Amino acid sequence: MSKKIAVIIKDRQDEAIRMSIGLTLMDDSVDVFLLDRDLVKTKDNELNIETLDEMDIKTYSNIEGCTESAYIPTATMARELLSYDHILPY
Amino acid sequence: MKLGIIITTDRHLDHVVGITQAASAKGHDVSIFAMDSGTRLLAYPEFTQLCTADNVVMSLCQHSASDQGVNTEGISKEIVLGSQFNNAMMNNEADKVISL
Amino acid sequence: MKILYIFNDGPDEKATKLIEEQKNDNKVETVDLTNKETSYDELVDKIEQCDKVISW
Repeated sequence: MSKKIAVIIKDRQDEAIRMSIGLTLMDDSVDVFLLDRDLVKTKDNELNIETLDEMDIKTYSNIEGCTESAYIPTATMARELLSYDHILPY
Repeated sequence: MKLGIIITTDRHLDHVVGITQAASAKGHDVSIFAMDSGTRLLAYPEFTQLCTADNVVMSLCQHSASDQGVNTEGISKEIVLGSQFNNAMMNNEADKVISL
Repeated sequence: MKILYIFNDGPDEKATKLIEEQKNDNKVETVDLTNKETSYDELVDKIEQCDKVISW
């Protein structure tokens, strides 16, 4: 049975993204949540951030106007997270 | 319960051992996946010996181990030198997943 | 819904923001692993019995 997995990026962004991509390998649905931050694109993670898109991994932030992620208010994020089978802060 | 434990740091060895042993003793299946600096726990026998329990399986991200300079030579054959695919399998199969 | 937060390194400000929202409609319990008196036996039971576990 496929699962819904939420990855919350706390501080180690690049490893969190690498893990998020890997989690799709069993056809589970994976989304990435950013609390009080946006994705920061660097030379090292550029390819992985592009891969998030290709793997249909959506990224959400509670900060309005982020360039790399869609905005959702904190209250919505808190509620939405509970719809996932696994919630993995990283 | 099938309990998944993702280990991403080397700061919580006592909790990894304590939770795994408690869950195993209660008859739960435990799957452990180590990545990032969590692979450094391979240096601790208390960690590697967890795989001797019948209901505990262990794997790690070999890419992380290499990045962290962790020596994987001579580790138990019960510990799978794997990849993020092992984490994906664990998350797919587990009822609950915690990270330490 | 029963939600269990496990704080690996003590209570966290960002997690608290989520908890404040979630506890409006859910029962939220927290376990602080920096508390030396934490019982692993009891923690495993809590993990099994909750609907969602979030280890922070």
